[in-house]
Amino acid sequence: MSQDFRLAQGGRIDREKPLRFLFDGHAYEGFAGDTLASAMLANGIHLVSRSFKYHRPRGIYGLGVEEPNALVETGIGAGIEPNARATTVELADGLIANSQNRWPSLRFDLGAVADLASPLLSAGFYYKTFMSPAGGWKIYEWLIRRAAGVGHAPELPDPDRYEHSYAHADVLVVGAGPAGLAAALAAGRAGARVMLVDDQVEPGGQLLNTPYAINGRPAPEWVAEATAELDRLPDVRRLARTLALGVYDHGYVACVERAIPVSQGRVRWRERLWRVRAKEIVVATGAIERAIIFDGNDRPGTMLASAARAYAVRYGVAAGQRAVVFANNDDAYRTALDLANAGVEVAAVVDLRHDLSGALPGMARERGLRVLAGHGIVGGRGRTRIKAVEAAPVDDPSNRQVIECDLLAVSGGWNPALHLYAHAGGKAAYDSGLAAFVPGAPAERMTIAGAAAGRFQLADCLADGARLGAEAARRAGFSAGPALVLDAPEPEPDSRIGPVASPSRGGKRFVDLHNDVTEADLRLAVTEGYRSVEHAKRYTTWGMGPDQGKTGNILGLNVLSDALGQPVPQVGTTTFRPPYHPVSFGALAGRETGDLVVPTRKTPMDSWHAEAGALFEPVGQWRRAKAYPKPGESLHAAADREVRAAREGVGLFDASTLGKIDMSGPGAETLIERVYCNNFASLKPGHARYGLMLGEDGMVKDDGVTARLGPDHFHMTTTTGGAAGVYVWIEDWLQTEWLDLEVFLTSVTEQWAVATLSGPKARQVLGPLTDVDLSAAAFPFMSFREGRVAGMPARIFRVSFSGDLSYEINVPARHGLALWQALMESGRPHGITPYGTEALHILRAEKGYIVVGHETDGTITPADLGMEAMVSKKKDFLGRRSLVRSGMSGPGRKHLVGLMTKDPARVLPMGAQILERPSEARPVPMIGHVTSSYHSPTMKRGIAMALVKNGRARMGDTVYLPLLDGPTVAAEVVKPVFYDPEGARRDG
Amino acid sequence: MTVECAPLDNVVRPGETNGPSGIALTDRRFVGQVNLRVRGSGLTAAGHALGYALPMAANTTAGDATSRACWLGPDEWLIVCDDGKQAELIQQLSAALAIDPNAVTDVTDARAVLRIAGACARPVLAKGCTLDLHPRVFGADRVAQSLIARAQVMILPIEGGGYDLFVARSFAGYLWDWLLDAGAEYGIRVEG
Repeated sequence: MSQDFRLAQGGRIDREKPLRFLFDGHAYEGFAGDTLASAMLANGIHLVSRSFKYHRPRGIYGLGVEEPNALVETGIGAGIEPNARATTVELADGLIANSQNRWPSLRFDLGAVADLASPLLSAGFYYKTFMSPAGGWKIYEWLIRRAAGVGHAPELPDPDRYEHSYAHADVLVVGAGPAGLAAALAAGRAGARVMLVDDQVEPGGQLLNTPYAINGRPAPEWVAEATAELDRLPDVRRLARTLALGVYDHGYVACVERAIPVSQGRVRWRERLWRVRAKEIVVATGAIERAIIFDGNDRPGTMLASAARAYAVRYGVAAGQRAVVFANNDDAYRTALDLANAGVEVAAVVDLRHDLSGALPGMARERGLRVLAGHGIVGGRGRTRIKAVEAAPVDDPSNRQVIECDLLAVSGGWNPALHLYAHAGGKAAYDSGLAAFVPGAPAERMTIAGAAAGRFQLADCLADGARLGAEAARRAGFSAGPALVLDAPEPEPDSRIGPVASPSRGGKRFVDLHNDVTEADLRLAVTEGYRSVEHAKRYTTWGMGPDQGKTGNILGLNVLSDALGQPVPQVGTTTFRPPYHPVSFGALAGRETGDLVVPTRKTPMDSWHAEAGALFEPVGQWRRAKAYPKPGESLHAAADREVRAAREGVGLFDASTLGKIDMSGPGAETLIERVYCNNFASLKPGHARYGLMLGEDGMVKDDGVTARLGPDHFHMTTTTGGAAGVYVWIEDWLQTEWLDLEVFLTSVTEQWAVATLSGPKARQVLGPLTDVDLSAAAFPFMSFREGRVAGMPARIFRVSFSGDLSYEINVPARHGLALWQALMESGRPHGITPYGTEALHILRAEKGYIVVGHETDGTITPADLGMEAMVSKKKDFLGRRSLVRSGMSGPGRKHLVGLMTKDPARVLPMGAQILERPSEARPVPMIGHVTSSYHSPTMKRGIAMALVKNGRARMGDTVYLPLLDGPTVAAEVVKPVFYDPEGARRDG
Repeated sequence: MTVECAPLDNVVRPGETNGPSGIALTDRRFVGQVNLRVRGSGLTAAGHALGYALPMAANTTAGDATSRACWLGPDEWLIVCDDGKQAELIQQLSAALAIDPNAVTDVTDARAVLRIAGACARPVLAKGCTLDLHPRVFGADRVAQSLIARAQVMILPIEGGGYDLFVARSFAGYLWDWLLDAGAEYGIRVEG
């Protein structure tokens, strides 16, 4: 299909490279260098969307991120991206785009009945209408969400890659227009590390449209020269297609870079989130043109004057064949002249001001353009495309004249883009001359150059940039480089700006095109008492859509100012918050997907477990073998088999994940005494002891076995989950409170691989491999020996978490796998069986050994666990004082008990609540809960541990456990030791 | 003679590549590492044993042909040497520090060491590390302890550009996978 609205010449597109694209299923052609919007306009497409609330036809309105109307869906299937602005989508061959928020079609949209009903859909409509019946909102919401709103989220996993990168800059320059390029050059020449980000494909900003010269040459030539110099500087990084989204504390700036589109296949990555830490930020984000409020100001074919100008000059596209320019300021005449020079017929310039004595209106008149001074636009014709406007004197709105046109370019002045300044905490000040907010007091690490500071003349932009860039570099520690000399003469505009609203004849006057908020909505909000700007915003949704008030902010403030009878500065302004522009979930997630979300920590023997077909379970970040089921064997059966082996023969367990802390120095004994509640001073070198650690609150915090390697040298073990926390906690005490203790901690968790050999045949398996005398007399329970195992240097601890004879063998991690293999080999004749964490838990529960986090939850004292005898009465230790608080002892506390179900086959669920009577009136008094519960293959029945109120006084009582969706189970309260209570088995 | 197993022995496939290579990635398997904790008068004694003064400025290193001391904290260093040399180093340090409170601990097996080199090594690390590794900031005598993605690492610059990444043994597989993934856009070559 031909590009009927492509101008015969001009523009920065590559006419040699045609690109095909589909919009709503129709094939069109554009050129390389086009945006989707410019290519659509080249094909005469103005109607691109239906509005949010009223489903009114809407056309392309802007040039970039400020676009409130042209939201389209790009891509297909999993690659769908909803709500893409056609103005920011780079055209690529094969691009597929579809309109949104319309049914059945864009041209014939049934939702448009909402527009006919618009008198009913005033501000606050939902709040007023959907109040009743209570609970009805769920249905209303579903209906409203179907009718209103924006695109649909893709339903398939995103197939694209998104990257994250951190970056550091001495000077970050945002915006590569005249001010930004000059700033980057000045800072770069000073030797600073500069990062220049710009959201456009090409650097230059407004310089790509301007007819004026820099240093006597066309502006684009200077842009090319400046860019080339920047690219030669080794410490300058220039990012195109990169939008600064937000500024946070201490010079932290988030930017998103879009990939260069490809026609075939997938891009290597689609977006990259840059997190930049900048010493200095130069904001050169330019300004966004604002509209004028007038009747029917949303007709397709109506657009910002700056957009119409850029489409003509930069993209070689006539947004219409016959244009009317509607103005309240002199800059609009530049648009009129540029359009005329590009070959677009300019039917008239309608200016709200009476006195047009400036140079630019003069130039327009000289060019033969018809200028209607003191006139406003009071109406128009055409539904899906503008056909004519009605102009009338502002003093006599009924005296209308009809001017035929197919393009209405509106210029209501310029708003500096102060979003990043606001993110940094800047408070803008109102400049009544510009009728705009400009930067007020300086924000942290930030300076603002050129149009973003309300300085719109080209020479000012260049001078600002050069000065602020050099100053930023100096503050970052770099002396100025070669000076930038930039001369850019242009006609001086008349700075007087007219009103931002045209006289009304009762039509719809939009303030926020994106959210369909009208002037009448804002006035109604004030009438109904929403006098604060923030309240009026939320009541009407003005400025709350994805465009965040980029085009409608000042317009709305002027309406509120008029309705409230207060000047604009007194009305105040709403706050801009990040992000400046919507950001995709993909960009925020980056590569933190799939296996890379959380590290999986693996032990030195992990590969053996995997090859043996282990079923793994996560324990914190570790993956541990839960059981080693044989083919067809259930977890339950495997655990039973593993428990029986460890009770009757010999089992092997990977205990490498246990936390291990080496404590060394003359203060080591005192330290241990302070962090454990039980006595360690009497522990002799070569021996080990179980230690119970309390928090400052007296509650059980961690436990483990600590061995005394020498007089001043201990090896502490902690729970797997508590390892890092315990290490940091003790280090904290040493560094902040116990500076008198000469003791050093070193984490050796990862240095040692640990294999636990457990069961009556453990000695027979280990014996042939080691030079250590394993006899019970020579190597008693709770002692340790150093020696060699299968030729490896080893520390062997005779401790037990199963109650049976057990050796914990520690070797340097590199030998872990070899140790495991040697033990398996040596154990083969004895039927050695590797066992996992499930069997470990059953083995310890049979013995009534606690697990911190199962039997404790941060509210459990040693006495609650029946371990009060361990607590030393002779020494001070962390948590001691808390133990004497009222409520820490006495009646009413929960005690650790055992439970035996009356039906031996019944295994209680962990967490089950416990009642005194089989049925109770509500609210049901619960006296405790199950903390651990397993089928015990040794006892051949269900066993459980539980915390029960006054549990030790209930021995032999029956308690009741109502199960979710099941029966109420009766169980007997017993001592929490089910197996070998006399400890006869530990020597094998 | 037992078989020694480095953390990544089941992961690394030398010669593997995922694109035109801008990065070379090597598993150094074993690097001698001794954790030294000492303060006061022991500092000088430790310096004599090492043959050079311990670096006292935060995040700096000092060393000679045999070993390199990396500052980890006000009274903590990691002494890095060739694997096999750590026992001798421990003996020398322990002897020199006989009267000063200290902790000299062999942690050689506690960490894997991955070497990343090539023109794109810094951009790859910048994808998961918030620190500024620009040579102007992170020179040859520097060391850093930080996170790369979700793994704690000690980063040591190496001669000729590139870095040695010291990572807890159990995290080595995760970091390796992360580096291969992060480096994919530049192309990564696994060296043996």
